[in-house]
Amino acid sequence: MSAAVQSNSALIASYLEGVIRKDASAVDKYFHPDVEYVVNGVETQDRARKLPPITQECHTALPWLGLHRGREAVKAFLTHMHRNLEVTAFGPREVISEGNRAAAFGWFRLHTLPTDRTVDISYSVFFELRDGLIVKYHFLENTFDVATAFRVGGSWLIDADGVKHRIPAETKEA
Amino acid sequence: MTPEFYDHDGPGGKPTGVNGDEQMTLVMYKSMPDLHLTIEDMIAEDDKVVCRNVWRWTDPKSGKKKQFHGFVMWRFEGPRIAERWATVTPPAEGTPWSARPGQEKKS
Repeated sequence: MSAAVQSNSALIASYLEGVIRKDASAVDKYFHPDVEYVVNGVETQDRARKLPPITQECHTALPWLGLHRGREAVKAFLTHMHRNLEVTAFGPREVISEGNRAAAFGWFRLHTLPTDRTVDISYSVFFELRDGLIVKYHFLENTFDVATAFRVGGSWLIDADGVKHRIPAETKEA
Repeated sequence: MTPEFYDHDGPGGKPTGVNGDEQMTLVMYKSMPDLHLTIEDMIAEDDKVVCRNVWRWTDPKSGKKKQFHGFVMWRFEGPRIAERWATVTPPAEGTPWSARPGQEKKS
């Protein structure tokens, strides 16, 4: 393992541990002032069309998703997220690095505060560094699984394989 | 792929092997006949490669342009893929792969 990999691995591990501790100072410590922090995607199409769009439906379900520019916006995102959920663990992760770019793949344990559910969610993050700080951070997770953890009612009617399937509501009491 | 290939994030987010990934690919080719993959970014380190990809296609039933995005990592053993990890977004309506800002067709 190269020094760069160790460094980027340690950097992302330290930041993610800061998220578990709800330690806002991790943002100042690990992120560049000009950071572009994307959680899953963007509500408005980016000019280069490299970032995934978030549907209005998805944003309504998980309103903290989106693009957050600058350290204060990242802190506001974390505060918003922590009003709704806690991240209690990050699982083993694979980190690879080339030059000033790196990526990590792993899972995290999420506890929803309103529905009191605990689920493990796969994630990956693609990040870019400038002056030793993260200047681009793109986090992807399974938004279906996250939204499902917050669902308190309503059944789904799915049309697949030529058959309509009803998926009943998963309520906390069910 | 190696005979012991392991996909940590196969269809439905569940682990699978060579057969599972082959079936997933065949289903994609059938349901997305004009599928086009754009590699937006790539990182390589030792035996691993990560790509930031966009998959774009035309839905055969509705004729609508669709897309999903994702990060995929592969670990190689020699010339063969031994492991795969992936996180992808849900499919959404999108633009044709050739359309970049300023290049959209005017109707």
